[in-house]
Amino acid sequence: MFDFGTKWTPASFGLEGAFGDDLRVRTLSGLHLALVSGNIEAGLARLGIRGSPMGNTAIAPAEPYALGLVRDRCLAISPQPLTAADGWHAEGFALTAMSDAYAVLEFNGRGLPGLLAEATTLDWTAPTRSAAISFATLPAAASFHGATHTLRLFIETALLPALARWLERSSGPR
Amino acid sequence: MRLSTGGTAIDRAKTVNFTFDGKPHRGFAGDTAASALLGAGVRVVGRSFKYHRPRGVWGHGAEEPNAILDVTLGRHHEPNARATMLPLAEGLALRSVNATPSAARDAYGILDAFARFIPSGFYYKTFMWPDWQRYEPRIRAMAGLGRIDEKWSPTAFSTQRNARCDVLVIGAGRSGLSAALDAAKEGKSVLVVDEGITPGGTLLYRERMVQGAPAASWLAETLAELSRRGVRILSRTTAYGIYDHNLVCAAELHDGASPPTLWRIRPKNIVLATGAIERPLVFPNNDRPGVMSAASALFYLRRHGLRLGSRVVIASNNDSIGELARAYREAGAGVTIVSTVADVKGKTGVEAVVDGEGRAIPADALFVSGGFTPTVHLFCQNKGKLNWSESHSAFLPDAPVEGMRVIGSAAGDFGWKVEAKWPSKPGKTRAWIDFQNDVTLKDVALAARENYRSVEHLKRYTTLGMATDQGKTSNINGLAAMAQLTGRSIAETGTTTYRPPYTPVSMMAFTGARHGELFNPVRRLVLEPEHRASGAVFGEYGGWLRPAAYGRNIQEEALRAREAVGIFDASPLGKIEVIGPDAARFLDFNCYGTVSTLKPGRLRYGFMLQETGIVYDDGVIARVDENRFIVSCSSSHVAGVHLRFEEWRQDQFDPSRVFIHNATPRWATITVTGPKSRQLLRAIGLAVDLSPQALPHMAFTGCQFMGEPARVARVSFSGDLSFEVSVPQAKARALFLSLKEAGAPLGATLLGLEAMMILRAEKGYVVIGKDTDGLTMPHDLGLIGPRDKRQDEFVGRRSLFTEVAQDPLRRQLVGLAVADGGSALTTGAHGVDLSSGKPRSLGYVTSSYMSPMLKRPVALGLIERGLERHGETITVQHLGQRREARIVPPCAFDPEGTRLHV
Repeated sequence: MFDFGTKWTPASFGLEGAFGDDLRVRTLSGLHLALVSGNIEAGLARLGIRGSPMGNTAIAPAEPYALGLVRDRCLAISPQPLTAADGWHAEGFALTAMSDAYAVLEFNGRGLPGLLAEATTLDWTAPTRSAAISFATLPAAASFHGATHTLRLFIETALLPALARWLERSSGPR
Repeated sequence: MRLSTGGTAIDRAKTVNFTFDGKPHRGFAGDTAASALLGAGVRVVGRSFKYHRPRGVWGHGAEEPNAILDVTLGRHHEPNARATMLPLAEGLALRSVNATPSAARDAYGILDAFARFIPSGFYYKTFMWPDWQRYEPRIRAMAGLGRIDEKWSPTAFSTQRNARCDVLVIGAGRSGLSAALDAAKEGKSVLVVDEGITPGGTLLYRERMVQGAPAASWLAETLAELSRRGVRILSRTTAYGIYDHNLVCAAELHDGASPPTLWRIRPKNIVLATGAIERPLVFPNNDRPGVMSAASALFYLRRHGLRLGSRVVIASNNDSIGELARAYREAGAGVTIVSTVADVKGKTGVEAVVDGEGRAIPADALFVSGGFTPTVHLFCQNKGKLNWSESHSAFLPDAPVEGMRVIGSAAGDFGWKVEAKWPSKPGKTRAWIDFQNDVTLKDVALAARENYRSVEHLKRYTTLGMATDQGKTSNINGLAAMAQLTGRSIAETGTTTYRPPYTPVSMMAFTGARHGELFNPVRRLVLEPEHRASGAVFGEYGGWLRPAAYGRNIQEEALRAREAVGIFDASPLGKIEVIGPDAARFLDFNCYGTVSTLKPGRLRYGFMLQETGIVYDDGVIARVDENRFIVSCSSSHVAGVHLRFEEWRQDQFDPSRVFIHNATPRWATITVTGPKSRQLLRAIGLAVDLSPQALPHMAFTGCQFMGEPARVARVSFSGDLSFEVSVPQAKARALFLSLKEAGAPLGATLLGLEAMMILRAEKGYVVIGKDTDGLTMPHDLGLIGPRDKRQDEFVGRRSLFTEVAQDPLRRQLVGLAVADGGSALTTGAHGVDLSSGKPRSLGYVTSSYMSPMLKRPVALGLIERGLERHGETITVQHLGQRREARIVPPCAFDPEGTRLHV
């Protein structure tokens, strides 16, 4: 039996360090995430999140905040444990805790525009309603955080090793 | 010869060593491979495709039809590179294509002597008997340009980049740079792409005044101004295709062994300033080495200090050659200008030019200009239409297309007066139209005679314009000849369709990152490091890298799981949450069995069907509360089920009353299975009442594990007492290690997927897609209740009552038992009906294993009328070998289920 484990670089689930000349990445921990669908306004209010879900090119403030994923679904991000229970809520929203589902990466540096030009097809200067994006061909959610030289990326944990390979490959000059 | 002075592109202080066909040569920094070969006195740079005629450099740009080379630089290899576009580099090894052993002495050069026997289409007519396939391998072996180095593998792969801008200017000649500057002055973001090594186009080698300034100083000032305004110019970058919504794709070449960069540019507006390509004149032996584009001769003189002849003849049908004649005279060459050429003497170089009056003019080079073809490829790819202009002797862009402006020579503004005399009746001596594919005027005439008069037919019959140069120098002459031969105008004759790519693009550019581990990345288990540490052998299953086995003894794993307890990483199993007041009704609609009757805390197994009634997936559904369900679909169907649910939710239901959340990535799931599984879970201190009364088969409960929410479901895919424990990913390692540690004294084994496959096959549990195929309906698996009893609508229902669905000869799931003492049946082996003397397939074996508990093979199969044939013996055939197998119920082990309900 062929061992396919030899075909793939052993997986690791942390990403930390420099890629290219002017780009650093670190893995954030301790954030609490949840999918909220339906009456998003009510759902976010229940979680203590003000404002509407943001798109890719918005600059997220300090947590808590929410990223739009599709028309009626968002990803709530909070530094504190979520106070609302999973399931259906009478206010008209559904909630599922998703902490651990996604690795949260933070990219920072002058190399960020080059990374975005390589990893995404998005016009990062135009507003978008959704933060869902194909990043390095992998499904993810992303938005600026604090400033346009910092990007937060939420990617399924199981796909993190693939992203790490992609970043290693793309670490040359841009 | 290389002049002692001159050459604005080269640095004479830096010599560069290279080889051509194994012979060492020297050039200068700034040379292209073409200029370096010309400077080294190499006249024959390749052989033609069909007749193996010696060929020299024709042009200096992307249109080059002759100087096509295989290139090696260190460990980098590239076949069929255009020498005119390739910067010279130290150690560059160039090899001519289609020449054995070298361009200078090609063993197949003799083919030219038989040219009259091999005109266009000869193989269509000649190699028909007894059949084409007999000849095809040899012909294909002889055909094609360039050689792939099979030992080569890339050391780096292409980058793919996306860019946006207000204005994309394609072409960095005078018109393009002016347009770029104008746009930049208006405050627009501007990107310029140009296939030349240096921006400037014809300004680099033609003496002109631009806006009152000499070309060179205007160019320098303009480039500086563009740089100041933040305009980026990508040189050596060919915009090769325009796609929907003005997406422009471009390939940027780099020096040395670096692979090209592929650019996807989405501009708001495109300015096409791609210039025009000089055409050859069509006359006998116009393909001889030493016959060159007049513009290119001037280019090599001014840019590379190359005087390509001391006695040159210049022939043209336009007024563009005056500067060339002057420049060559100033460089000390004798220049004769003729209006027509009747023949060229010399085989591997020009020895004399016979003019229209029959005079043989001694010469060592012939420079020709047959007019100019605007480079409108991208305009046409963008659905632009062309108009024939008699005054320009060229097709020019007609009505503008949205978002694109064509300017400069590409729009016909090249400033030369052209009086074209188109080729018509072929003479005795061949005159070339397509240099690269060896298409002559005789071939066009032959096509016309045989009624291949449409340009599309002409192209396919003669291969005119189908070589790597895509007919950049030949198409207009070819269709003009066809027009002359058929008595039509050129406008009536028309052009072939322009399609991307404009020039050949390395496959590496398209590949980008998509190779190796990034070609189709699998998902990785968070427990992978622990599995590796435990000696796992991995397999790829449904887009995941999962342990296939631990060590090599799969039978032992399965046996220990039956006798004690197995620990199995089931994390990829789907956990799709369906939430909302209509969740139950939604799942009823999506599932074959009714879900709404399920009570909270309970599980139910069932199928999802396609609208065709074919089984799409199976899985277990858990009802958490009145409004929330968790669908545990199979690992490989998570994305598909999620998509399907979302589609039905939006199309068929009130989307404010039911929602789909794919929570699969949140959870790690570990299955413990076997008679000691309850004992094992108790040993790790899971705070759950695991008694049969509190947690019966097909029930689940929530709990805590290390302070985090967890779920324990009593569900089995092995037929033994089993529990699935789901914890957040961050707690997976702790759970796994505690189970391993606590399991050791119980004789626990880590269980790979292959052993799990044995356990489920012993029980007759199906794997959708393995034990079912694209025709299997639920009643083929023996599940007929919902079809017959349900009154409400569900996906696939109507298809279950069609004639095909009711066919009595449907293939149905059975067990297959062999009693010959042999090994397990081969999966995929066919059950055959031999009653008619000729084997007819009854179906096939879908799963087959040696059972470690039963000490005999067990198998599942889809066999015609299988459900009513239990007890019947059939013949099973594989690769000509036949065995007998008895059709039995699918469940071979513990059919009463006593091991499950404990």
